[in-house]
Amino acid sequence: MIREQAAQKTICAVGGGKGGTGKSFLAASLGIELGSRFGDVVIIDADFGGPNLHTLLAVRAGGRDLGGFFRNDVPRLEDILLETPHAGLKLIKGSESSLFAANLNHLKKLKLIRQIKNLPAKRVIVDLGTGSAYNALDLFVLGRPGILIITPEPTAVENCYYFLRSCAIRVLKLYGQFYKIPHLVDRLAADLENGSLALRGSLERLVSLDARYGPMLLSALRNFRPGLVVNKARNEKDALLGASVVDVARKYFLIELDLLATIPYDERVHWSLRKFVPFIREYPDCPVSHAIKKMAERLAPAGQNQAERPGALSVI
Amino acid sequence: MLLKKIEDLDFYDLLNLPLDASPQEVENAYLKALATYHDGALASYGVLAPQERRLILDKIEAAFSTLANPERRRDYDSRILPHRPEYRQRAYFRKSTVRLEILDASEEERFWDKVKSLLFLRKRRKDGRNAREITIRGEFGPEANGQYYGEYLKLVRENRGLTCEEIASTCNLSVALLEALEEENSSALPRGKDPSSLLLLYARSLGLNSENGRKTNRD
Repeated sequence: MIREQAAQKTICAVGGGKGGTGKSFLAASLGIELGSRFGDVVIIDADFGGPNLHTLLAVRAGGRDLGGFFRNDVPRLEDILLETPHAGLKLIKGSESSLFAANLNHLKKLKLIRQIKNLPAKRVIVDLGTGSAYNALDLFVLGRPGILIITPEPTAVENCYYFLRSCAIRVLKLYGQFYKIPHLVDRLAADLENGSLALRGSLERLVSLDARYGPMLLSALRNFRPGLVVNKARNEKDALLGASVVDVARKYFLIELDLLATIPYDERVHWSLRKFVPFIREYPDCPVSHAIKKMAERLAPAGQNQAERPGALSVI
Repeated sequence: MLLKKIEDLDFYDLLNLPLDASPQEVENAYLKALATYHDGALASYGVLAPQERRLILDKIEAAFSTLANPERRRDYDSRILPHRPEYRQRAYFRKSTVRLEILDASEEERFWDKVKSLLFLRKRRKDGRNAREITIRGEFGPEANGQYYGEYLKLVRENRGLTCEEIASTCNLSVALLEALEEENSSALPRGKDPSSLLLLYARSLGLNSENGRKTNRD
């Protein structure tokens, strides 16, 4: 079933294809910053394969986690909310029985998505795992915005485009089901299998093929507007990468990305991790923390993203 | 709603520029586009086939040569404006081309740009940040950085199919010096010479106009 998403909640999903780009670091830092400044934040560790957000937030292992929710030991997501040492921030810990959670079935995923939307919090941050499996894609698409994080390396950039392409197909499939034109989206997916990485060529063919539904799917894709963060930028040339990726995504994938932040590289992030101290707390005045704080300000107003795009659809 | 092909995008859409972009903005957008799509660029890695890359690079070159020349730009604007969404007639009495005049009003803007850039530099010097902390401004071009990067000038030269020898003959700099500038190898530059003025000389020989290209050393 598809329906319009409730307007009072900001759900940020932090994801991206490649590991080691700093997804959990960014999610934890954003959670701490939003929690301390605006309060009422829940952060969910949805890295089903290897959850470790609790370590970044200095919360002890053990206790209630998503595993209990998936096994139906606890009926509601809010029953497994854990307090953190950080003001205004609560945590839903990832499952420690990772094999079971990593292979989550469709119904349990839908239950999770439904309950994330009904969580009693104004701001929800979902930290996703690596890869472009349906679980990660659906949770990313749920985000308003979904935040894609890359580093200035060819592997990360390439994975980012694969991830964007998979998300776009997922979004189009949802709309295809809604408008009862799944054959059109299947044809697009088949066309992409044999073509280049870029979406544009296939979409051009789709629009010329079906003058009625092709443009409709194109508009649907324009509603998908993820954010982009470039992490570990070492110099000013790296800082230009974000704007360049936005341009490539616009021209060749027809996806409009919002460049949310460029976070400079800082060796001290590593040492903060080793000390189990959140970086944004240890060095609140360094450029990394400033970039994250600025980004938090942009994301803070609950409901703003939905208001900009009233037609946005999502899976329930 | 039709989906335009990349080769059918107009020059403003191609370089992500507004219709009233100043010459400096055109130049910055051109360098930025080259940095995005040149062979080996990180941002377009894995996305473009070689012929697609050549197509867009040629188109970027054509866009710059048109938009950087006021006369050609005026001709081009008069051809594309009727097709731009901003200029579609909404009511019979409101059709206007008044924004074209912005091209003629850029002198005053340039003056204020210079004043702002001077103020900005002073502020930066007072700042005294820890050298280890990289500040990322996310801006581009001589306007933001104070000077050209040798790497970008190399991109422009290569994209136009020019050799260092050809450039050397037009700007009276030696080939070795041009190569050192392109590699940003400051140890190979002659002592006492300001690298930014050499870079500016190189940039001008490529037709990059830039009033704003002078200023200080990068670090």
